[in-house]
This record gives sequence, structure tokens and C-alpha cells, in this order.
Amino acid sequence: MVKLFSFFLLCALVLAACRRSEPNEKEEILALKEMSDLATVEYVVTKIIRASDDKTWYKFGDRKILMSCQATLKAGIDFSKISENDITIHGKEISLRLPHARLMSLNMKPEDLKVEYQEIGILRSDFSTQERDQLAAQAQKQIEGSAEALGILQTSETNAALFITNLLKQLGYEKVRINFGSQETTPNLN
Amino acid sequence: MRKTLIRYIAIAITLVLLFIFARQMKWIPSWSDIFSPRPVVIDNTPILIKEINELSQLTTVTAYDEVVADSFRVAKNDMLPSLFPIPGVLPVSMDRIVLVGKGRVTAGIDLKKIKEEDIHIDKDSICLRLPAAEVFDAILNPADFDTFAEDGEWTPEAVTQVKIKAREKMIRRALQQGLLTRADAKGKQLMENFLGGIGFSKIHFQ
Repeated sequence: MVKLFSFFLLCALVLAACRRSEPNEKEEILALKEMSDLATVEYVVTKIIRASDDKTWYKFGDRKILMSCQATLKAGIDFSKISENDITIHGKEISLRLPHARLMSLNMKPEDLKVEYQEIGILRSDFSTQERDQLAAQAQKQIEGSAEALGILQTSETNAALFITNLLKQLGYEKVRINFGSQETTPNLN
Repeated sequence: MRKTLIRYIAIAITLVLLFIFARQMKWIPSWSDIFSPRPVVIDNTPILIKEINELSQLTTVTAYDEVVADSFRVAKNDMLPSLFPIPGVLPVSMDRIVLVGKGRVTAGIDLKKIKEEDIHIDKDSICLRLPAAEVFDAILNPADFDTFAEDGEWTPEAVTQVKIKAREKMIRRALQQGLLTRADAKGKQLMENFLGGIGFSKIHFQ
């Protein structure tokens, strides 16, 4: 019986010792990196950040904050993904296959983030800089997540097709065809 | 008597094991979870498009960097100097804010600036005048900042000034690393590859 208890006790100790270790934060290399992104559109968007801190049971009183923010989203195409196989030339006629557009950056400048209103209970402290940044970071994620729904990628592809068509016409080509992936796009040049 | 004691001990051990198992499976919260503050989640408010601008920015180099920016001032609640003013002696306490920002500076060539007169074509040779490389963006978003220290009360406007200081420092350091020279060289290389691919065999840059 004593052996059985010892076994149970050992199991309990092993289980208690098996804590899940959090993965280490990925270390990033801070340096100059060469790119080849052609940004073709910029969307300036605004959003109201609304939050109330009343979910913690042992904190008495509420804290509410209302902030406004403005962010700039840029989208475009990766120029390095265009290979020789994507270009077909027949005399003065050229056909070019471009990679699909992607979101390249989201820039929320510090001066574009403003605290419009806050209500702090008498037993609560003000929102700290870190807390305000965390709320703004959530807004940043929401904007990033909605980028496609805003139509930025479609606009970016249309602009890329227009820009490259104009450039190729300046370079002497009379007929220009632009495809994205497998789909063909005919830019409306008027 | 001994059997009853053993039974109680067995029940106690089983309960402890069940508790540990339930904790491992996260079926019950830990003590630290019970006393840890709930995260503040923002409401899902609409996103409004304010402007749409057409661009032709060829980003050729990005400089990643981590910068520290700070600000100090005499603590508002420091009563000691006002109670015992000693000429020539500095106040004993200071308010300070120290932020660490991890961001990036992008640079490249604005192809929109190429005019018709910048392009000269003769059969399969082309002479192109490319505009000089410029800094497009310095991105230091709220998620990129870490507050290392914050003593005293700092208004959001004062914090914004520290963040702007961090951004300017990041741009300055990127320029010192030769960001624009690298951006120019890479821009020329990209345009050379592109022009070569579309049929030009002799490419010159002015």
C-alpha cells in the first residue's frame, strides 16, 4: 500500500513539474534589407478606439477611454517576383504577368493617435502609456484584418496595371496586356 | 483504524491528482489567473476611408532598427525644493519616461517623378534619368513601442512628443547607415533588370 502511495505521489510531482514553457520571442535581425516592392495605392483610414475596463472583479469602479486614430495603408506588387517567363514580346506588343497585390505597410503615426475622452473612477488609476498603446495595437490589428474588405488590393492591382501600361507605352510598346496571376486585366486608360 | 486512515489518505491523494490534472488541462483557473486583471478589449468600431492616393513608389531598401527615446522633468509633487529651497542645488526627484521602439524606415525611388524627357530611346538602347532615392516611411506603430519606465504623470501629448523623437532618431540612424545610397543602387539594378527583360540590351542611367 505504501508503494502505491509513493507511486501516486511521484505521479503528482511529475505532473506538477510538467509546466508548459512559453516559446521564446523570435529574435529579429536589425539591419538594412533590400526590397523590390512597387506600392501603387495608399489608403488613409480613420477609426474610433472605444474600450472600457470593467471586467476585473476585484477592481472597484470603471475606466473608459475613447481615442481616435488615423492609419495609412500601402499596397502594391512585389517586383522581384516578375521573371523572364512572365514577359512575352511580339514586335510592338507586350504581355506581362504580374504577381497579385498585397498589403505592404500600415503606418499609425504617434501624432495621429489622440485621446478624445476618458472617464476614470475615483478608485482607479489613469490609463498608462503601455495600456493606451495596447489598445491602439488592437485597433491596428482590426485595420490590418479589414484591409481586403476595404478593397485596397483590387485598387492596387488596377493602379499597377495602369502605371506599368503607361510606362511600357512611353518605352515604345503600342499594345500592352497585363495579367495578375492567371487572370487578365485590361486597364481603362481612356 | 489504520485502514480508515489509509482510505482518507488515498482519497486526498486522488483529489490532489485530479486537481493537478484539471489544472494541466486548463479546466480550472490557477490562483494567478483568478487574481490577474482581465484584458481590456476594444469595441469593433467601423473603419472609415478618408483618402485614396495613387502611388508609384518603388521601395528598394528597408532599415530595421530599435531606438530608445526619453524625456525628463522635475517631479510636480516634489515638495522638498519648495519647502527647503537651497540655491544651486538640483531638485531631488525627476519624472521620467523611457520608451523603446522597434520599427523600420523604407526608402526607394518615386517612379511617378519620371517625366517623358527623362527617357531617351534609340532602337534597343535606353537612357533613363531616375529620380534620387528618398525616404518613404518611418514606421513606428503603437504595437512597436515598449514602455521601459514611466515615473510621474505624462499626458498623451507629452508621450507623443517622445515617440516623435524616437522616430526622428530612427530616420537619422538609417540615413547614417547609407540608406539612400543603397536605395539608389538597388533601384537602378531593379530598373536595369526590368528594362533588360522587356527587350532593351543597352541600358544607361544619367
